[in-house]
Amino acid sequence: MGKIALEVNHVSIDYKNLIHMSMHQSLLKKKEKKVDIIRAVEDVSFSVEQGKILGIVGRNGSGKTTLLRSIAGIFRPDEGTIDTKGNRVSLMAIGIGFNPNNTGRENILKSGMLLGCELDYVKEHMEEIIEFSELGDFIERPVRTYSSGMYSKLSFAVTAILDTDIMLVDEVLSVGDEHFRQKSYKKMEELMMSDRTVLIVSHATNTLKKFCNQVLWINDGKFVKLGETEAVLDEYEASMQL
Amino acid sequence: MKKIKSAKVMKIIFGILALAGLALIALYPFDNRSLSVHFVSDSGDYKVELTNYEIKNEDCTLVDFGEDTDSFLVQKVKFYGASKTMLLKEINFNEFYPLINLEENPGNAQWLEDGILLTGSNGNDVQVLLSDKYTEILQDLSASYTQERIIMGGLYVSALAIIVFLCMVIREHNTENNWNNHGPLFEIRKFCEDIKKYRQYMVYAAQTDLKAEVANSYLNRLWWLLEPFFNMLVYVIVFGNIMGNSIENYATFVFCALLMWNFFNKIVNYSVKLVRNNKDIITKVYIPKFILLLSNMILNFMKLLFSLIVLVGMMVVFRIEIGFNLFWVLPAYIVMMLLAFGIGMIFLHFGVYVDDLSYAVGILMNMLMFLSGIFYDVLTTLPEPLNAVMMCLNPVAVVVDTMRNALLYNTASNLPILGMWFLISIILCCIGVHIVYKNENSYVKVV
Repeated sequence: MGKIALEVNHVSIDYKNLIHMSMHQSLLKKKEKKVDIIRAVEDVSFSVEQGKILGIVGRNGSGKTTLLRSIAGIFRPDEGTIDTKGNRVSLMAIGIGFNPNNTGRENILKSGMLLGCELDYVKEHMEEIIEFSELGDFIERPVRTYSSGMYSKLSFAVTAILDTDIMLVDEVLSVGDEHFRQKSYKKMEELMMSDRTVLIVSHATNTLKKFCNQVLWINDGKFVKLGETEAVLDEYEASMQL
Repeated sequence: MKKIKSAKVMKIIFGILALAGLALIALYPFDNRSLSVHFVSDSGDYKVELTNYEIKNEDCTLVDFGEDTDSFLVQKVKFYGASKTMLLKEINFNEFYPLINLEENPGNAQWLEDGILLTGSNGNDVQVLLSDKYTEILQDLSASYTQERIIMGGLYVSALAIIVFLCMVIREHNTENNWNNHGPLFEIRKFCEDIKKYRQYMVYAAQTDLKAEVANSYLNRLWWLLEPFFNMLVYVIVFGNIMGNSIENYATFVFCALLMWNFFNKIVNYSVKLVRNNKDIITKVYIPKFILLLSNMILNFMKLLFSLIVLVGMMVVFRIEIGFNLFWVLPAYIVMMLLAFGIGMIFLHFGVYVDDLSYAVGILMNMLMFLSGIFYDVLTTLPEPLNAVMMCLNPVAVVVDTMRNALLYNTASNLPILGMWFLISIILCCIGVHIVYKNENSYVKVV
């Protein structure tokens, strides 16, 4: 057993939907409840060892993204605890805080600092990020002039290069053209070798089979199975057949 | 179970005591106060100190300007209370003229274009005898204690807030630490750590946003000068020329207040929509929400500094004399920024849940602007009871007035009230930061 990098204990997360009513409606229907609670994640527990890669599968709307966001600290679980053991966590998402009127370079600095890195650290890795993103001269142009592929490439590059201890990847591995995809796979393999802990959410079971040490399957917010990649994914695929 | 009940009882008792204290301040029959009357002329002020007994006994109608002068040109008369910075009333020379008892006046009073010239007759001292109306004004001012009551009320509320704060500190100390801790010490520590951690981001984001704002316009940064300048021109034309008023250097008068108001207005309006506008950031990383507000404040402050170029230019052109009292501009701005931050944080929280708030705030801010004396002087323009209340209870009017008096007339003004609002602003900031820290986790779910 290696060192545990992330521990999730009996986590439940609610979404409270405020039901918007106009003034006279809310006066007339006093007794109806005004808050609609949806339980997105219910009693999920697991832990990940340092340096391991965990895949998370499940149908659309089963709470995968919610779980990742909550691990990233964007919101706190309503019940249970998430212990990241003091590791820095980053959620790899498309375009963190990108301002379309700023140049790519400025946006790299901004989102790098949002991920909790020091200004100097981001500046040091600037060239590496630009090279990885394959943007070339476009890096000096405003982000609004980018194509959607370029946009995703840039944001993938930012989170892939800047070093965080735990990386959460939410369906962004399939960005860009074939060449970039291969490159990002290679980067992921590199990460596998390194000491970084990675959580991947994806529907592409082939990708998961390639990278993951373990797979977690959740359905409707509930824990279904956690185990060896092959076994869990086969069962999952079987359940998804029509 | 019993413990909870006793805590509740304690809270009720505390509340009743607090209200009783407020009532005491509002109703306590204070003694009439002493006044000091300043006769303002070009060559300097002549001050008359009057005790409350003299005013009560109507023993204050004869004013002797001493042997040293042959004549005295009265332009304005100002009345002050205990504090030399709190102006109670100001009257112009044309209002002053009817107050002179012309029939029994030992000296001579002459109406000139720029004031009233007082001279002594037959080589006597310069003297003027004032009528009963003057005594009435003095007695009214001496009896009214509104301003002091409001200041005391403000200080009292601040003291209560500090007591509550201390109670919370003690409670925090006695409970175990866990992740859901929202005690004041914990939050203050977290606030400082967050500022330290995100300071680079705050400044850099402000810079780039500023750049992005003007990146595609032809006139570029010039807009930050042109926008307030043309706003000012509109006000000067409408309120200065069409409606007419007698304020000297009206353009500078309006412009310096407008800069301050614009800052406040933009921060408050921005804060209401802050979470919605920054959805991209908030749904993807954790960031303390006040960092975004602070970043916007830095952005607007940079713009403000840029507009100062115009202000300095205007002050040079209109030859406005400055002196050491210019220093008071600084505290006025500090109070204004604290206030904007505190109110902004509170609106930020409610703006997430209530869509209508942005409309309501728009209307409120518009009303506040017209009540804060951006293009008029609150104390002399508004009717009698309203002006004193406005000068105490409307923080924007207070900071604008202090800033303007320091900048244009080289006088320190409203310092006690400024101090009171400083305390209240800090309390508002604490409340705002507390509310946002406590609820920021649920913002993402709503957006």
